[in-house]
Amino acid sequence: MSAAASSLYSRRKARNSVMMTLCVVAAGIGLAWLALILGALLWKGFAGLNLAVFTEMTPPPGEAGGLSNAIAGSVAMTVIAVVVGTPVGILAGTYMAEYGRFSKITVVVRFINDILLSAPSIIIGLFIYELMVRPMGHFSALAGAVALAMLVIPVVVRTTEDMLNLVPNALREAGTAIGAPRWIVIRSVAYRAALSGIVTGILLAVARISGETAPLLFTALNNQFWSGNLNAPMASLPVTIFQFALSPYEEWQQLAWTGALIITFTVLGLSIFARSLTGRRI
Amino acid sequence: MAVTFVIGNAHRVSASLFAPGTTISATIANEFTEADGEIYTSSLIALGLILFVMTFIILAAARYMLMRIERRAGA
Repeated sequence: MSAAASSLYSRRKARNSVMMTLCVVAAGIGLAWLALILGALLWKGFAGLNLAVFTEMTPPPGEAGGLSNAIAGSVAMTVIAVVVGTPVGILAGTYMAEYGRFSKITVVVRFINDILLSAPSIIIGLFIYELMVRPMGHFSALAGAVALAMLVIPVVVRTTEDMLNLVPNALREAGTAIGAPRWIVIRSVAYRAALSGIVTGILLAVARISGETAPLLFTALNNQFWSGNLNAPMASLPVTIFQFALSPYEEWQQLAWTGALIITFTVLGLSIFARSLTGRRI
Repeated sequence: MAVTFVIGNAHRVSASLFAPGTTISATIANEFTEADGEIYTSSLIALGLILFVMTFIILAAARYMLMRIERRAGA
């Protein structure tokens, strides 16, 4: 190797190692924040974690209590939101991937869906407030659930379309070749091949909405007590955390930390479950 | 709106990054349920519109850039 070439080579080697170090440092900084947040959450959250958190209602200021009504409210509204949002999302995604793959309308819908996907969730809250809360004259858990459903739909549309697009066309052609009508090909071939991906999308949507405060603030509001009435305000974990964390009462702040711990680990568990679904090939 | 906790929710434009301020989301989150009177509610919803238009423009720009890259890769 000539002297010029070898100096070029060593210069590139040096630059490479500098850049690699910078990349590692950047990744380290990112992970350090995550570790710090999780650490603080575990430290502060575990201090207040006991059975009463799951069995008692949110307390008035200055008293001990739990978060049972908030947990139940979160679960109820998340379930309704997923039940309402998932079919719409899957049907829209199916149209975009199976029927309208090359049509203009799919491009437009995809663009609007992308905007909905990253629209600030507080705007969804305002929208549902005008659409449901004002005409009905009061806050309600149903309005909260619809607001959450508005967040579920774009996530599910996106993942359903992406996953169906990954299904090889040869599979569909094989189904058509043995005489299956299109809807049977979609149902028994495309859906089956894309199932784990679609389920992952739904789980990711659940993970997304279970931590959302903004769309619930003006729709489901909050409730200090147990409520099974969907037509009345209902407590939820994120809104309770928001309210308690900003309060000057120590018991409330402690409950906010514990609630945050519960949400974080639920979402973490869901994400890991979703990952394990996609990792496994069908 | 998570910044509501730390931004201070002060209604003023300050030249210092270390002074309290507020964001659109934080303002709406804090004041919407307490807003009394038509004009107050309408102003907050108008703030929401401004925020939405901002997101729309940024996303449309991102889309446009992606489309250009795609076209260049395709050609």
